[in-house]
Amino acid sequence: MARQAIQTTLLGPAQAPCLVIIPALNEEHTIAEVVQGARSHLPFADILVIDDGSRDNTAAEARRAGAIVLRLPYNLGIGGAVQTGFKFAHRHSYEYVARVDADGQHDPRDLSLLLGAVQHQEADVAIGTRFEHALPDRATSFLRRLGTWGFARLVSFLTGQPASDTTSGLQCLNRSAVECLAAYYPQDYPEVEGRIVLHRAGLRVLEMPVVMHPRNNGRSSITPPRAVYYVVKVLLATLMAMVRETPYVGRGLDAA
Amino acid sequence: MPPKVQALAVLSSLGLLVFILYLIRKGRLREEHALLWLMTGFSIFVLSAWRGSLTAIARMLDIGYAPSLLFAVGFVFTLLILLAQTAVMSRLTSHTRDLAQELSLLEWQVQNLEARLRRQTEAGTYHDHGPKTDRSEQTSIPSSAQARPDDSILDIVDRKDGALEEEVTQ
Repeated sequence: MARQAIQTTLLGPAQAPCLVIIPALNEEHTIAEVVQGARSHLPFADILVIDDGSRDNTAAEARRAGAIVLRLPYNLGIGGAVQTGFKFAHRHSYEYVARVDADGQHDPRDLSLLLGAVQHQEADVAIGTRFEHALPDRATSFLRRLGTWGFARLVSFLTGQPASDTTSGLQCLNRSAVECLAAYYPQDYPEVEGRIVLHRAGLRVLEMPVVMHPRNNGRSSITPPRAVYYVVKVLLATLMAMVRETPYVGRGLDAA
Repeated sequence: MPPKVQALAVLSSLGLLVFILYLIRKGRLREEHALLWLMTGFSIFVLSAWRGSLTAIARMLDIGYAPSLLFAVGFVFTLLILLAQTAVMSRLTSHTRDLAQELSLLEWQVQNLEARLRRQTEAGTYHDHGPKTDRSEQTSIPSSAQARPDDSILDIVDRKDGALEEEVTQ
């Protein structure tokens, strides 16, 4: 029951349908700019904003900026919102999916870099990482870096692949990866566990250095008590993801 | 076991069993969830009504005060019930998440189709039914709080459709 991609923009003949996913929660001030940024750097892509139960004008602003908008009836958490985007992409048969955060900390220019890597089959998932770049990095605090470093070591150890920034929400995925994550994706703090899910599904992940901006607006959602919860929950979920019986949808199923 | 304690245990476990069966009969408790509750009530009832069994097990486990075994059994079953409830809750959480996601996907599809239909109507396919269309438009989007299909994106969808149709005709 695969349907045609919506493809609201006019495609060049050789261009495969591509979707940009932007999960957004109360980002009315930045969302339009992020949508326009994505549009200007990936003009052939459809842009999908998933409004994760915002109480402000995020959905209306996103619509005005020309995005397709899905509104979740209540807050599902970032993972639930992103998974909604994966389901949309899978259902409407998009070949490639890019994901950007709505707060403006990602540079849309990097999207074409990541998309290129996936399109040239260097990997099933390309992730923009913030630590391997020469430019100074002002967007992250010390503690967050420490936590990220720890989880990166864990992910490298468990998957046997190099990992440096496991919290990055700047990603580009091909169809196999989208199908895998549409079937199973953690609901909150999904990025670390997601790496394990991809690994167990036999999908290749490639990290590419990018620069992240300080947040334009608002603070990080991770406050000290939440940080403790975050570390414990993600640690448990990550280790469990290694041994979970749920068969992850792998490349075997989508090959054809 | 002091007779008062025994009477209390027998009566309360019996009461529990009757209440559980009543809830099942009323359809307010599903059998699969009631099973652990029934086992709890039944084992406490047996242990308190049949004094010999309680003292025998207590002696076997070197429990000095036999009625405390009743508490132990009750506690273990309570833990099991709580665990089972958390498992059910986890399943329900993923179900509601799936439903919420599905709802948002379908809502978008409905809006998309409505707008297309409206456009086809406006394009003159059903000129004769003009007033009816107006009315159906009013009823199809009942509350102003609901997200209305945005024109800009749908304009683009239609433009794309138009472009495709032109390609086909050429």
